[in-house]
Amino acid sequence: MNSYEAILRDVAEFLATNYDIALHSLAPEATLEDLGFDSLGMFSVMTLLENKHGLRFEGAMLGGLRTVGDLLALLRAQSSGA
Amino acid sequence: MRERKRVGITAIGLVTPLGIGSDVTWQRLTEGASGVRRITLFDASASRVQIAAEVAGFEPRRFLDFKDTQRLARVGQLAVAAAELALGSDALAGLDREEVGTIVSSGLGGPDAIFSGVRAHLDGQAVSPLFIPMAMTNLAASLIAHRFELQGPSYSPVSACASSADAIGQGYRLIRDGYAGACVVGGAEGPINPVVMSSFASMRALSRRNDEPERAARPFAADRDGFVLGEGACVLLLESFESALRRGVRIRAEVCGYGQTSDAGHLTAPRPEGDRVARAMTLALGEAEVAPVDVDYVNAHGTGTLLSDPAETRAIHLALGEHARRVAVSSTKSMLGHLLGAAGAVETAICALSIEHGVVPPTINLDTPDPVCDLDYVPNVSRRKPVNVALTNSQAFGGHNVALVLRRAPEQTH
Repeated sequence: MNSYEAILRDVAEFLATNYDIALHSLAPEATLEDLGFDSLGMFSVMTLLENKHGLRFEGAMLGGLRTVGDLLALLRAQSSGA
Repeated sequence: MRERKRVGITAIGLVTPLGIGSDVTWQRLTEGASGVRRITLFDASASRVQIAAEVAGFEPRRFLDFKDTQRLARVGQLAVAAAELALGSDALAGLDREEVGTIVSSGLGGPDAIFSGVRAHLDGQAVSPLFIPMAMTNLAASLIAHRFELQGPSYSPVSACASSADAIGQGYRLIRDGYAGACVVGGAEGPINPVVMSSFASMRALSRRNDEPERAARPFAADRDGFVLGEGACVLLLESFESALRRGVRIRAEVCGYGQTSDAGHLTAPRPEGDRVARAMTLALGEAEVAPVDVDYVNAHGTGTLLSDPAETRAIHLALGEHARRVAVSSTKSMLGHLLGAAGAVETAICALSIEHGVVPPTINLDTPDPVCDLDYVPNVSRRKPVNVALTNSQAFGGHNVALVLRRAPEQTH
């Protein structure tokens, strides 16, 4: 099940467990850096999604991610509903 | 050659099975308390060894932000806590952080991270990107350098249970020889993990006195049956005497001698003759220009294994000669367990505190000494006596032998 909603649920759970952050409370323009979400955090959530949803994220896809909105757009593009 | 500088310890941070902080650890050491308990960090009910020296009451959130409590391997959490206790209250004020090194070791790195990563792999999953940084033995040095913006030399010498003694020796030499103005040194270990414990248990290295945890660590006793695994961390600030004087900070003790040798023998068993441990002690005393007769206290490696205690006893005889029968020797592992790569730093801190307080901590659980262990091990009760010179021994799997010599620093003039 690779729906955008299912992916978002897993990302929300990851952020709550590992960063004490509520995804639904974030503004799209909030920057990942300000959230303390560094490259290792990004790689961790991508690995989780690869394991659980069979997605494949190439390094080049991650380079331009700066904000929560950028991340959500990437996840939407990767979901089966895209 | 550059002019050699004298080097002092000016801050001490301890996180040990006897407490969080150097004051509480020292207090309980001098009371002869034991930090050994039944294991709580994992379910050990089916394990051959069910006891360890855990840091009871450790609350990572006191020292770390939420993210780091979730992602740092235990060794990293303990290391940061010890560094905060040593350095957090502005202990680095007036130091140029470009000139401050970070030499902090761990013998094993993050076995908890390795455990999780292997399990994910065997389950057919991609392994977390955190596996490598959390498993690496230089994690503690990296975290501390980052946290305090220390930009000088930074690495982690690895020599198993001598690792943090080497870290202190390396930091001392960097300052002495002018390559760093100050160094944050020490060690951390978080080994209380079922895989690590099972391997040590298979080596017959660990005590199986599961029903009497507090009596299990009994170095030099006739009925000893191995060491007790412990966790914790120690971080010290070393700096030149000139730097301490300029900053107006008190020198707790001088680090003045560092000796290293190799058994060049068995992978895990100590060399029974003890001669190469003795040579490390002699080298350290020589560098310190201290005669054997002037040593007041030896903090022994003293693990409580069948082979190690007699070998170290012979080494002390060889290195100190006639004085060996008079010197106070104790194994604080009888109370703290064996903190592996963190042990040498913890025991160096104990030597500094012993000099400062004029008290030698005891070897507890020493009711009936092994007849071949014939020194004054300060049995069971701490002893008040002036300590001007202390030597601490570390011997490691792999045959690495390290001795460090500390002495009372001249009174500061500030």
